[in-house]
Amino acid sequence: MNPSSESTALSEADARAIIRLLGDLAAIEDGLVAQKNFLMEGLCTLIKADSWAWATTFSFQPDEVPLNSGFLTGGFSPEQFAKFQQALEHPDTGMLNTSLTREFEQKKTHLTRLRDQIDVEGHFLLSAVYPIWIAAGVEQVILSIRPGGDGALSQIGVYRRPGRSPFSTKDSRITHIILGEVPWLHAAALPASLGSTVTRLTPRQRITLNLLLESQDRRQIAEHLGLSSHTVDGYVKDVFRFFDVHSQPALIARFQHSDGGDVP
Amino acid sequence: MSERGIEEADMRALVRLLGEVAAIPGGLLARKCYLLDGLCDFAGASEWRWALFAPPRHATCLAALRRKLHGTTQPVLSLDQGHLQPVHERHLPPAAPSSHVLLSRRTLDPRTESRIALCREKSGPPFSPRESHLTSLVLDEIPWLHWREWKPRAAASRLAPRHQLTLDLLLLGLGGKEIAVRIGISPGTVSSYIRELFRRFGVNSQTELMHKYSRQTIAR
Repeated sequence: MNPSSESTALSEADARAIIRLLGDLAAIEDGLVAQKNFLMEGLCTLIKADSWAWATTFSFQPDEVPLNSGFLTGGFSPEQFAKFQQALEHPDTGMLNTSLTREFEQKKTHLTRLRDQIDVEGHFLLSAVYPIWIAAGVEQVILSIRPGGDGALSQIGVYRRPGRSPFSTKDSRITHIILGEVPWLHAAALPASLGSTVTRLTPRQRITLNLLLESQDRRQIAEHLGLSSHTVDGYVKDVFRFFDVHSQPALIARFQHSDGGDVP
Repeated sequence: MSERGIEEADMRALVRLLGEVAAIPGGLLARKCYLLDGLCDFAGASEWRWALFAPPRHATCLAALRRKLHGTTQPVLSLDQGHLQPVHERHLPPAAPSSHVLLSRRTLDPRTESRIALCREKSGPPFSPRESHLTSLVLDEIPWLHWREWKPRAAASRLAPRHQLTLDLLLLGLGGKEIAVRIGISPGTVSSYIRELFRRFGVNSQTELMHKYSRQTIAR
């Protein structure tokens, strides 16, 4: 059940803060990525969250690990971001989110849930993936899924560090309203032709891709994933070959400019 | 509901309107007009006016715009390539008493006051407390509605043309050698441009530059 079904009133202070945030957003002229980034940083300030991630997903199967591409995040250290990627690819994460992904599959509409609403029975704390989430600096979670264009959908997570109090239903409502009523922010940041190919990578290749896109170098990737530099070199080579590039800057450019590989 | 609370449906409508404004291309005037038009629809007003006044007695109107809903935006006074010309208040059409008015005033600096009014024909009912409240929320919390000019962020001094070209190509993912070939200068010169650009933007690598630049976490 969506905590929203009944119409709730927001406080004067919350309403003012939301309007100020959206008004400031309207003063930004630097494109979609900068606007998403600004809105999410503002939302985190509003509901006192520590970190956030916005993923564009092209392949969505309930009960399976969602395959994300086109990440935008804030509030993670490079090491936490690597752990975050590992946690997302872990099979337990998909299982924990089953109730949400099934509901989305059924309703195909924008849903926003607190961790306790997704994982009613509290499996999270006992799951094998729990320590990885903690290492990523994530314990309290608001998850929001919204259909975008081109068969893509946005999965947005807003997080608090371990040891902090859980988000309230009010925090979840504010997140839902802000993410729900700005539809153009959900337009896919990269074309389906590029995004959907990511599903053909293996989980480790995909994690490597996402860390490369976050401008981490091979040494950092090896350290953060606990792999040998030789192994990471192999993954990096796979990723470069897959996207037909010869350098990390060229790879980043392909994703930033959505150029379909047509690098001049 | 508490007296000053905001219903979720109203909040959603305002967020949607502001989200649309954020996607409007063009500068201040286009966005201001779109937002005030939307606010008129939202509050059931038939017209909005915006004007800047100068002391001592706020008798001189520096600039004004108004729009009748379902009509076009009209400068009350001359709006010449975005520059609004000084005029006297007596040239302004009377706002009251022929209409109901919601007024927002903001002092921009000691020399200038901005006023925005939403108007409704006197033949209709007065603005309700809800309409008045929601309108004032927007007019209070969005300071740039009152500004005369667009100041999105401090503009960094311009780069020299070749530095700018080098930066553009770096952001496209090209390497130093490729850039040298494209601009037709020596790789050594390109390297020195790149070093200067890295220093200027406070980064240590091309990937870091691309990453930060796309998120606007560095000043241009």
